[in-house]
Amino acid sequence: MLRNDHAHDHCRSHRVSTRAYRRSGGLTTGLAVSVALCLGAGSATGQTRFDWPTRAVDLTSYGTVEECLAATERVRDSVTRRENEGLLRDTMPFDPQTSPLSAPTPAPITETAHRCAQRFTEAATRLTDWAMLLPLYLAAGRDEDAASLIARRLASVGPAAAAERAAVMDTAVKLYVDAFPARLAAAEKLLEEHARIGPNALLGLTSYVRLLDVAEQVRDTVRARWAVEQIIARTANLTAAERRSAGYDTVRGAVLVALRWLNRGALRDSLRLSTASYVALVRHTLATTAGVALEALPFIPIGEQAPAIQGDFWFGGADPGHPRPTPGRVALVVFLDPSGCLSRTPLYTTLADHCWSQIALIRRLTERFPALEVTIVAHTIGHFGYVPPPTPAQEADLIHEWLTAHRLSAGLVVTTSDFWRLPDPDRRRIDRPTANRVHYSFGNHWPVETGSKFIIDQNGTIVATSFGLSESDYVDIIDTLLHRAGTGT
Amino acid sequence: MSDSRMSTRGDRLIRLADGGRILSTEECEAIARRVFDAAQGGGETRVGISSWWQGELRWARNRVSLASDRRDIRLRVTRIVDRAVGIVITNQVDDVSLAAAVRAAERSAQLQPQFVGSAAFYPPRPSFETPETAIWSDATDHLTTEGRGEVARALVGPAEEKGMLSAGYLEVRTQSRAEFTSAKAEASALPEWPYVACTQAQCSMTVRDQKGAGSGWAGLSGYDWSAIDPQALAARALEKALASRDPVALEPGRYTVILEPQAVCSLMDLFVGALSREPIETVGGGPFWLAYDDALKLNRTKLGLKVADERVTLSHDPADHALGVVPTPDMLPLDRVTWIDRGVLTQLSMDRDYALRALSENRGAHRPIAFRMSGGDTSVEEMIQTTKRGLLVTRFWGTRLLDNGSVLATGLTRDGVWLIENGKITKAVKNFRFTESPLFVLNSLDALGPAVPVFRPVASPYDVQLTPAIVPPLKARDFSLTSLVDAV
Repeated sequence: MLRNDHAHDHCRSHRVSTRAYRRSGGLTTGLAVSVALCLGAGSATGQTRFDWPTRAVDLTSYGTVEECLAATERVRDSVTRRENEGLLRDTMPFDPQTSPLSAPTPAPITETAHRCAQRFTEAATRLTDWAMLLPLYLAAGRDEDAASLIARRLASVGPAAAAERAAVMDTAVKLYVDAFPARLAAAEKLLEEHARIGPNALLGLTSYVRLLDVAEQVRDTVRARWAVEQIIARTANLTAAERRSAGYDTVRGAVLVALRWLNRGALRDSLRLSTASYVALVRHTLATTAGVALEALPFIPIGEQAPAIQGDFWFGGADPGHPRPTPGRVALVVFLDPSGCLSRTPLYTTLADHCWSQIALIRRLTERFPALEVTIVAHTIGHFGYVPPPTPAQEADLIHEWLTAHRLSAGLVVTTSDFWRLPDPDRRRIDRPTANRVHYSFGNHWPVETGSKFIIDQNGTIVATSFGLSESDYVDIIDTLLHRAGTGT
Repeated sequence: MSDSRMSTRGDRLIRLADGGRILSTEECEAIARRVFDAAQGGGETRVGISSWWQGELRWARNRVSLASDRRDIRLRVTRIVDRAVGIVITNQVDDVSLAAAVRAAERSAQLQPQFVGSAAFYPPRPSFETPETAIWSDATDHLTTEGRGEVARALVGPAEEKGMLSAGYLEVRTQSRAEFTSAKAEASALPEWPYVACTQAQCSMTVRDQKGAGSGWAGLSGYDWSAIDPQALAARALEKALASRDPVALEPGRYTVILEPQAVCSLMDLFVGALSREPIETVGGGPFWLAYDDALKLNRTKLGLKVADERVTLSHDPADHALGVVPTPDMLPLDRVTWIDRGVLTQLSMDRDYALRALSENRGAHRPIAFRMSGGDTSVEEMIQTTKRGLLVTRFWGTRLLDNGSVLATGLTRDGVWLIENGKITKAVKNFRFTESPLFVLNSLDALGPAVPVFRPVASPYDVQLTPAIVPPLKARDFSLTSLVDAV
């Protein structure tokens, strides 16, 4: 009896101390441990098991719109990071269905935003907070309040303040299309109802560019086409001075994309007809975008004859006796810079992400088009990863082994780089450009970088470069080249 | 670790028994093998084991306020399963805890990206010889709690007898580290990275008068406690405190200064970290960046250019017994290096990876974590005798960088500044704030004294690295003291 009382006292004192130690929410755990100890459980079973702490965000201390938005973004960051662990998305084909731009917002994000934003009634909030309140409303799913807020903000702009109005519109559209999921319909409605073409056609153009960008990403072709038409309409009558302005510089690329988008069918048809007609149409599109005559267009290598690849070490079916690109075959020539891509180990994951996405793209193309002749062009740089400096032959072998490990069944041509060194004590190795780089740079008019790609038709004419091409563009062009009748030039 | 020294119960913290302050190589290997045994189901297991013991003694106002004797181990278990890496850190090495750590690492691996070996080609890593350096001292390892108490008594006594207040800190530390991989567990060479053990010792003290009108400091650090003479430090701190009482205010301005080695070390520390090649050549900037070369499209360094007085040489030799550093995997290989040779910048540190990338060379040059600055044969007394009007500075405090390019820095003098007039110390003066660049100082030298070890303890108590420095006193012209400071 005495022994039992003693045991009871021990249990009570232990429970009290446990509760005191874990004041915040540890009562259940403390009791469980105490009960386990009182029941005389063995040491292993008596151990406190690890439990995940509650993940609900404590919003009591968040009083401002900014703090609520920050809390929401932290939850979003946490959710996104957890979902992205272990997945290098940029090595996979883009899937609009799984993109956060079109997928529903995960519940923890919506729930946090909803709880925190409850105190902010739309009509009672200050307009100075509107740019932060809008994404909070969108994250909380309060789209009607978001629309009212924008309307209230636009109403506060004076009728003569066109620039301010355009800026508000641009911000609103940006927040709409950057939201998860993107509110493309709301952005389009907003632009349809409020955007007007004024004397300055460039004003507000970025709103359509943003809409086009995201609409393309989520494969919303109807909305993308609408944005393209708006962009073309607004830029069609730009003066030469306006086309040379800094404002136009920021949207020039988007205008080119819009024109190509609009001419996609025509471009494909022209390529089916011949490379020459395709090149002519592309050049015309570029000239239209730049607002210059065809003769004044900067150099682009499409339509040029592809130089023959030279090299010292040939792998993967490439043969020095049969120079590439092989006449009569559709070819893809890819320059990979050893220092920026090849030889990188997974220790350099962040540096190598871009490289891996390149490798993944090439691999998908080789698998999809077995008839395509793919040639990787590389050069020696005097080192490979962390191994002691190899000879050029060893380095070429290592590069080949690295590509093989990436399951890339393409031809590989490696050139021994000529180099010189800065005088002592600097001693840095300076590689001279290889003949392949020089030739494909066309007199430095088109500097070759790592990842530069050239699609070449059966007659050795360069049809496209990697500039501005998406994966679907590669597929379209290569497919058309492989299936068109005759030589097509 | 033998079972007799280790509790095998699963519900209690494991403590090292008295006697062995750190784990031996056999003990580390035994733990690693037990981790490997606990790791079932394939994959690779890596084990990093470090252990440390630290004895401290802190005193203030002539009374000991802290006497500690602490030790711990740190076990890092890495499981590589299905190309994903999971890591768990623990200090419990009983069987139950080891198994739990392995399982936790495996659970963690399940949440991690599958990077390892993912369609990548790994050439084998090259191996290097490990240099022999002086980093272990039995005297440090054997300084017991009682021994430290006796030292404190000897340090505090003289100050107390003179009616002064003494405060200080004494620390001795022993630590070990080893890494193992199951990939080599069956081979004869088990360790992934060899067992290394080192010791650290430091002692510093400040003596002040009761009114707070005078202050003196002395300190020394290194791996070997027997090389530190605490009585000499106590005498020096007391002497400075007595001599620095009742300082007078002096107008700020540019002065000829005699900087004692500790002050010189503070200045050197402001730029030795910038002796690194990769950031200069990849990003640019810093005191040893020359310019961007538009023709070659690269950043040029000041390598080969004169950056200091020709009497200045900055170097490190791992074989130097006073400059031993702990070899680490990331700083291989460990060679003798001279960064500044007779005033000319001849070498910038770079790891082997950068040496391979930029130079196609297989050896780098390690960072100046430890360094020797060349000295001269002019004693501080001789410097004083040859000074018409100048200042003698004990050390600096609170130094910080103002401009990265010129290494312009600011800070305060502390624990004794004296005015020198016509070859003699005439009076104690109040402290100053300085605004000066160490590179300007190294180009305004009048004289250098014999280089001696200084107080430069390890910055982080958890860093298994030693940071000794050997630095001379120097006399320099036109040192900029920009304002007065009331603190002693």
